[in-house]
Amino acid sequence: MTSGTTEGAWDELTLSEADYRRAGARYRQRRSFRAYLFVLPYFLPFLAFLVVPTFWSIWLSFNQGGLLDSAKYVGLGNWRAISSDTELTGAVKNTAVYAVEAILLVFTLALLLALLLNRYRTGSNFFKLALYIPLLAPAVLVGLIWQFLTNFDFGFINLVLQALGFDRLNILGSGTLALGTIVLAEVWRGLGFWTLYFLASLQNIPEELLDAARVDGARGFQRFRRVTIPLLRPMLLFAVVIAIIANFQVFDTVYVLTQGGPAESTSTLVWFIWKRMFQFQETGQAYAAAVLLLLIILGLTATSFWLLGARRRREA
Amino acid sequence: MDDLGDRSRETLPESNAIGRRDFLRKAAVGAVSLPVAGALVGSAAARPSIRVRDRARSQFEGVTLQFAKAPFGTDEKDVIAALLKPFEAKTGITVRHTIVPWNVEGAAYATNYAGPNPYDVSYQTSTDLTGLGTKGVLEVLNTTQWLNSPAYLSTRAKFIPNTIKKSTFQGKLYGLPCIIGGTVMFYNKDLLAKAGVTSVPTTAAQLAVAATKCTDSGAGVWGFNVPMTDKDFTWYFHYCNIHNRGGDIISKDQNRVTFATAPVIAATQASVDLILKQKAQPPVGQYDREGGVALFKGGRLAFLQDEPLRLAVFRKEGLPFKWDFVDPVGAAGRRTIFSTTGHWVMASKGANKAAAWELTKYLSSPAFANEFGSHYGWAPVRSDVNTSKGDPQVKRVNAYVLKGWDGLPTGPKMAQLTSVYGQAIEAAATGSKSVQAAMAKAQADGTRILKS
Repeated sequence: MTSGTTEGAWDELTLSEADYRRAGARYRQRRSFRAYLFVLPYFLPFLAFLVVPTFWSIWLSFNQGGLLDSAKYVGLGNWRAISSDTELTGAVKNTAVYAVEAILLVFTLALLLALLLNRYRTGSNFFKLALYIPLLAPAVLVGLIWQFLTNFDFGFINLVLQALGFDRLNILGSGTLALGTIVLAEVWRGLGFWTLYFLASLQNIPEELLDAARVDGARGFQRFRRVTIPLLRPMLLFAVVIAIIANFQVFDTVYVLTQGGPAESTSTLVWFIWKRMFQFQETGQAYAAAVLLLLIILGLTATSFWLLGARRRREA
Repeated sequence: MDDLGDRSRETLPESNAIGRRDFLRKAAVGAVSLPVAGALVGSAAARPSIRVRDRARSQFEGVTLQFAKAPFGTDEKDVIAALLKPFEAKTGITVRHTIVPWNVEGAAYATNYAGPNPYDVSYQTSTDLTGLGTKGVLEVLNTTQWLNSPAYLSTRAKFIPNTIKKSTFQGKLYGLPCIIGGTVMFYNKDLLAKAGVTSVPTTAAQLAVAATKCTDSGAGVWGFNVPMTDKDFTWYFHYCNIHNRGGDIISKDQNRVTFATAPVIAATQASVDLILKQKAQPPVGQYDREGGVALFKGGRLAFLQDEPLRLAVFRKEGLPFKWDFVDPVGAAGRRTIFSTTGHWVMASKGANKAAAWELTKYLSSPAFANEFGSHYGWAPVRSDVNTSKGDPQVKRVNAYVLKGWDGLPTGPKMAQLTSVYGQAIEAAATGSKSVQAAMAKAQADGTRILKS
């Protein structure tokens, strides 16, 4: 075999630019096809149970009926009806108050506990388990537990108050206290999850940075404020987004504990939707309120991500 | 083996004696016919819906009906199962009973009726009856196929006309009335005697005085309790107070709401005063409905307004004090009893409507309604049904109800309007709004609901 023959063979093997592009495209298609095959088992249910129902709900928010009877297009009728419903205004306000209180409280407590667990490792597994257990309880059970805790005659809270010489409280009969009880019940349930989340985040902070700060003379709180918090920020913002989505959908505790009462003071958005949908069979109004909830959550999520992005942009 | 041996030794009657040839002939016929019969049975098994009916005891043999009801007591499933046994035995229909809890019945029925296999027969009160009916999920019963059929006309005549009338909306009756209830006022005789209350109050004003006398806040004893939250259907327990004053929450033609009218405001004010002014009733939220009943059972409540179905429980448990009951107090010279009407309804999409009608008729008949009504203390809606069975207490409940019953007019928006009234009572009774302000809001909300 001569070298000329070899060169000719290489020439034959070398692709023209167009051939090369085609081969590349074929390769990418094969690769993408395989990837899509892997994604398909998730994508189909996602399409069937989330994307289609979401758009269907948006469509039904402009219709009357659609659950027990056939849907009838009413334009903005449902939107006008819910916008003039004072219970919806109250429900949006209650949900916002609840979400802010619950998120602030649970994050503060969870961060505090995570810091303690991060610092003191002895017996930490026991505490992690103990904190996590309430999350395993169904929300309805949590509601029932809190119903017993707040009972006027034999509830734990009132027994403690009485033992301390205070008057017993009609907790679920007062709007403020009832909403506060729902906040506490949800905080109690979510505390374990968020503690473990923050603990994992804290354990990802390089020890050298904290050591360097210590060498530079930073004290405990200063290290927390100047090193820990900035490094936790991405995780914190992600947590805020998740918590907003979860807390704006609060329902089961409200259902078991108060059913929106007293005097609509614990009526939340999902409770409002549930009542319109199932108690009153006003499906169009329920869908309109559900779409409103979706828009609120989307707006808050987008704002959170924008805030995260803005911070990153400044840091860059 | 003994049995066979004994029978083989029995002497056959002369006329039935057969010879060897006859025996062989019959055996041969049998041998040929058995496989044929087997094949026929086999083909019948392959087509059960046709063949099974051919050889059925009744045309409904093998039919299974889905039946659903929110329960009047924890024992209701057993009570109904026992009462349905003769029906199932006679018709060959199997009834599958689903308990639908009261607090989720709206959701449970909405999702069930939206599906392809709805409950064939269920129980609906006048609050939800027409709401569901006008959406087309319930069968219209006042047709010649069902209630107005010639075969049922004589039975139809036995229904109390007012119950049929109150349950009919725009000429359509979506359920067969079966129960009218009411509320009664139980009272603790010992507490009344201790407080020096010598006569049982008959008016709202007398009740306020007596309840105040009986209240001893230091000992945790309350004068009066009635469910006060929308969660506990407070509107149901207060409606009679409006009727007593000659009012209602909706006009007769159901075109406008009448929350902000003098009778509704006065009725609500009297109830609110018992809590906020006389302080003879626990504040809203302190005790829910069951909590109030527990207070009464514990001897810490003088007057309890609740449904007569508590009678069975109080008698069974044997309360440790003397007690009795009367009809709820009146006002302005009128003393009415309010209740929704219970109905047996059929699903319009039901697969076995004829069988469902059989069950509906049975549930309404004395064979079922006498015992069922008697067990839970409900008044009958038919002249041939007697729920008292000689029981003087149930007889008294029935007398109160039949004398003073003024029920809920059915309508497609009644579930919402009654809830609006419940919210208004709650708002006023917690003191978060004055009665006037609460009713003004109810009026605005109700008007919007009627228009939507």
